[in-house]
Amino acid sequence: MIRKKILLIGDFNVGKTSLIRRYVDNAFNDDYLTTIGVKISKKALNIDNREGELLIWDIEGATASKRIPTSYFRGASGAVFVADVSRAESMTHLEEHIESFLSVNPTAEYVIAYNKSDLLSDEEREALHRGDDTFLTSAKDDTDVEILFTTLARGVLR
Amino acid sequence: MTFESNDEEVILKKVTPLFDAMLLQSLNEKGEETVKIFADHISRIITSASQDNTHELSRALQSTITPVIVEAIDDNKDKMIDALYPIMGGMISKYVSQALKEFIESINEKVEDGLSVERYKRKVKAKVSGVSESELLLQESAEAHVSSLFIVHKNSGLLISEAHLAENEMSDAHMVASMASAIKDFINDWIQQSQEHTEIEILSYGNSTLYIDSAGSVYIVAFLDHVPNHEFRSDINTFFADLLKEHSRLFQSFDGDDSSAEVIKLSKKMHDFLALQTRSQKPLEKHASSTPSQYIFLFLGLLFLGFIGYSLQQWLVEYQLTSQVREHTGYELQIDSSYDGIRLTGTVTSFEDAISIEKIIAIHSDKPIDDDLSIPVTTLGSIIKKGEGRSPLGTTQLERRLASVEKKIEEQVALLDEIDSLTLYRKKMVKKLVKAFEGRNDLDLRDGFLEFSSNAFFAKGSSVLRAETEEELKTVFEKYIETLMQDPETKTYLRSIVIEGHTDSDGSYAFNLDLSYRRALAMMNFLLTSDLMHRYDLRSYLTAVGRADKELIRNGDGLEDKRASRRIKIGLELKNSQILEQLADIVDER
Repeated sequence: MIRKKILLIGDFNVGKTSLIRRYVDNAFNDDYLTTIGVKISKKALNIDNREGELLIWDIEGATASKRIPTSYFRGASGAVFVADVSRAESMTHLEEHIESFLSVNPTAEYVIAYNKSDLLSDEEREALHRGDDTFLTSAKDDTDVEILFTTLARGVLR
Repeated sequence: MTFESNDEEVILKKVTPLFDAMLLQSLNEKGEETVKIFADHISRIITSASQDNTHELSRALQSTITPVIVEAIDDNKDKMIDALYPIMGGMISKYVSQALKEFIESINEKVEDGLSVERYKRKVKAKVSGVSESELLLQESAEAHVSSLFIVHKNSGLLISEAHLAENEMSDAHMVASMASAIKDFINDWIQQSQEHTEIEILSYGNSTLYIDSAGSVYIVAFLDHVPNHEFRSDINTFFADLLKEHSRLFQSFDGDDSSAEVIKLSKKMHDFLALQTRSQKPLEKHASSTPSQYIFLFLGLLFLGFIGYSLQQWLVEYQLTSQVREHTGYELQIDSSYDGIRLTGTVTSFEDAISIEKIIAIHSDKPIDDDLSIPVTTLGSIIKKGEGRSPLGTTQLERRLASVEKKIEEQVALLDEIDSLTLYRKKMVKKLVKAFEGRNDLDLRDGFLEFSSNAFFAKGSSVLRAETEEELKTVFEKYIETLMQDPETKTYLRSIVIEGHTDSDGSYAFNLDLSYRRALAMMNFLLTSDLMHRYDLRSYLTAVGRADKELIRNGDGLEDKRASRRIKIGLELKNSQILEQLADIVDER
C-alpha cells in the first residue's frame, strides 16, 4: 500500500480540527495538539482502484508564545490550507502559510479550504475567488469536506 | 470648625481634605517615621485583601506591576533572564515530560502488551523475595529484549517497515510511527534551542523504553521492556548498522510504498532478529558459567571459521561471475569482489562489449561496478574514424554521467528561456499600459499594477464604493483589461488578477486589515459586473486581498505619506511560482 504524509495548516480557530473529525478513520487524542503542536490522524482511501492511506498532520497555528518546529513540514507530499471566511486576517495569512510550506516542499500538492462557509450569504459565496484547488467548506454541515481531501489525495497518490 | 448640617456626608466632605493635608505634612516633616508606621499596616491590609478578594487585588496591582516589569526588562534584560530562568526552565521541563508521558501512555494502550502482566509479576516477586521493586528493575535491565522494531522515514515520519513479537502486534503502527517522529522532532527542536547539539536516543516511561537510532534518512526504533545496558545497545546498533548498509538506497528514496520486494525482505530480517533474540536468551544464561579461556578459544575458532567462510564465498562469487562473462561474451576477465564493489580488469574490443559485460555483472550482483576495462588504441582509432566512438575514456559510468549533465544543462537552459520570456512579457506589458494611459498622472503603473488613491472611491473608514465614482472606475479598469487581454501571450502567463486594498497607519492593525479587505472585496464585486469579465472569461481569476498598512508610501524624508498610502492596486499575478519551484529543485540538486 502507498502512504503519504499531508499537512493541515492555518491560523488558530479556523476549524482545522473540526474538518479532520469529519473526515478521518482514526486519530490520536486532541491533547497532543496543545502539547506538542501536532496531532496525527489516518484515512484509508481507494482512488481509481488504487489503495492508499493518508497520514494527516494537523499542525497548530504558531503564536508568539509557542513555536512550531518547521521540521513538521518536511517530507509532506501535500497540504490543506484552511482559512475562516468570517475572519479576513485568516484569509490573508494563507499566502504566508503556503509560502512557508512550499519553501520546504516545493513540489508538493495543495488545496485551500475556505471554511465556515455556512456563515456566508449566497452573494458572498459567489464573490470569493475559487480555482480548481479551492473549496468552500463547512465542517458544521459537512459541505465539501470529502471532495477537499479527495482532490488532494488524487494529486499526492498519483 | 463648624458644620452647616449634622449629615454624615457633609461632615465627611469637609473633614477628608484635612486628613490628606495632615498626612502630607507628616510625610514631609517626619518622612521615615510615618512610612514605618504605614509599612506595618499596609502589609497587613494586603494580606487581608488577598484572602478576601484575590481577583480584585490582582486587578488593582496588575496595572502598576506590569509597567514596572516591562521597564525592568528594558533596563536590564540579562538580569531578568537570570531571575526568571528557574521558573521558565521548570516550565519547559514539565512541558516536555508531559509530552513524553502522554506519548508512552498512548503507545501502551495501542500495544496489546504483556507489559502490565510483567509489572504485576514484579510486584509479587518483590513482596515474596523482600527485594525492592526498583532493585528488581535494575536486574532486569540487563535482560532487556526488543518487542517491536520500526524503521521510520525521517523526513515524512512514514513507517517503512515494522516487526513485532507475536504478543505485541500493534493495530495502528503507522500512526504511532508518525507520532513518534513528531515527538522526536519536537524534542530535538527544543534541545537545539537550548544549544545542546545532540539527538535524543532513549525515551523511557514506566515499563516501556524506546531506543531510537537516528541514521541518515531514517529513525530505527526499538521498543524494549527495560532500559538497555551498554552491551545490549551495542548489539542493537550492530544490527541497525547492517540494515543501513544493505538498504540505504531504499531508505533514501522511500516514497511511501511499502509493497516492494525489498521492503518485504527488510521486514523478514527484522522478524528474524526478534525471533533469534527470543531463542538465544536461554543459551546465554548457560554461558554465564563458562571460564574466560573457553571464551577465548570459542572466539578464535569462530574467527577462523568466519575467515574461511568469507574467503570461500568471495571465491565462489568471482568464479560464478567470470564464468557468466566468458559464456556470454567470450572474454576472459579478472573479477575482484574483495571490497565493497566489483572491479573488472581486462581488455575488450568495443564499448558495446563493455556495456554487455556490465549488464551481466549487474544481473548477478547488487554491488557497484568499478569498470577498469581497456580498449586497445588501434581499435579505438578505428571506432573514432567510423564516428561510432563517443569518448576515448570509454567507460559506461562516464557516459552515463555525461548524459545526465547534458540533460540537466538542457533543463536549465529551458528554464532560463522561460524566465527570459516572462521578464520580457512583463516589460512589454508595462510599456503598453504606460502608453495606453498616457497623460493620466493620477495613475501609477509601475510593475504593471493599476494603482490609484482610494480617497476618491471610499469615505473615511468606509468600504462602500461611492456611486458617483463607478463610471470612472469602470472606464479605467476596462481599458486596463483590454490592453492586457489583446496581447495573445497574456492567457499563457496569467495566474490571477489581484485586487489589493491598502490603508495608512491610523487605527489598529486588525481594523486596517479588515477595512482594506472589505474595500478590495467591494471593488471586486463591482468589477465583476463588467461585461469584459464575461467576454474574456476572467471571473474565476479575480482575488481580493487586504494588506492593511503593511506597505506604506513614504516621502523623501522617510515619513509616511498617509494620503498616498490609502490606495487600491489592481494587477496581474503571473505564473512564476512553477518556475521558482523548478529553480529550487536545481539548487537542491547542486
